[in-house]
Amino acid sequence: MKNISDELLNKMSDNEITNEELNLINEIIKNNPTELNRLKAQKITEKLFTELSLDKAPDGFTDKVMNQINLSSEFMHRGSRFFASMITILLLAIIGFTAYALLNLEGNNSEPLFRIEFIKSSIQSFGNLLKSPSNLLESNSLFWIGISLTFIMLITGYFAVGAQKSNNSNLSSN
Amino acid sequence: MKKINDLEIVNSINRGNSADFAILVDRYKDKGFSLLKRMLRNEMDAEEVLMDSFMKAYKSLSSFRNDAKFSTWFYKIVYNSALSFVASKRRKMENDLSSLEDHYDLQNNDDEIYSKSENLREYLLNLVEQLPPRNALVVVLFYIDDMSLAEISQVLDISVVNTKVMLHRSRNLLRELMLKHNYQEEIL
Repeated sequence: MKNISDELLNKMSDNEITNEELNLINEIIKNNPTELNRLKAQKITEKLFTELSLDKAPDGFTDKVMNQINLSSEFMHRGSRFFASMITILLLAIIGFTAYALLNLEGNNSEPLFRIEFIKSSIQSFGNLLKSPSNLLESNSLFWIGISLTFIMLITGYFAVGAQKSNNSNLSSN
Repeated sequence: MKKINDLEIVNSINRGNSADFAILVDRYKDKGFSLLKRMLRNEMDAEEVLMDSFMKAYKSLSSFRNDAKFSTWFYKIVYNSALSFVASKRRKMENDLSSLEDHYDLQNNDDEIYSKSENLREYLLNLVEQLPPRNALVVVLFYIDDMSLAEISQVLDISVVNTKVMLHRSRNLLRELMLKHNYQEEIL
């Protein structure tokens, strides 16, 4: 007695069956109740799959995602602003330092080679200042320490205010 | 009113209207949750991975190209996030995922599932819920999401033939369990 193969049953579910194959199935089920049952079971399986229901995502899920996105983009924005500020300050420092060096030379010697030498020696003395802490107590050094501390305090203040704002927004969203 | 398509929303977000991402979240959260719940079999894990998937999708939205549908692209993120989650959970579930084509567990648990079900229809639906994760994923994407086998194969990163085999095996398994108890006579 002939059986309907699994492949043929699935071809029927996939609407890929040919007329010859359909005739073959009809022929088989006419005389074979077991195969008829297999065909019925296949149909029910197909129907069950189409009755599958969607599970609902938890309440407020969209809001949670959007809050998370807002927080992360705010953080990234703040990070990029900080990076831009640092680059700007560094550039300004370099420009200022170069301008100072050039202006100091105006009255003395304006030969290009001499200017470069002066910049080199200035950088060297700044390096020496960092190497030996005792030089920090000289009058010029105190000025630089003051500037550095102010700069550090400004950065700290910037982040402290940012953190406070973020906490407030978290509290209000909860 | 005309429904805005996914691509229009993606373009809008990429132009700076990040709030529009909420439309995509609303559109795909239930489908994504259903997939993950069936893969991870835990609601809390499913929610966590879904959140992670949306975040990843948002961050890489600028790299989304129109060569695939947004749904295919997003489900691929969901699927990969689920795999990463599973791997991080001591690789326990990963073993399940690597033997996704084994149906022995389901066949062995058949009687237990039957005893917990109130009627035949519920029993059969519970069997579907118990399908191995990847097979369940194929069934959900094919029947609930109306995705083609080619699209599903892109999500799972396997061949179309393998995807089709997984779908057929799921059907065959349920059919044989139904025949085992002669349920088809009572339902029809």
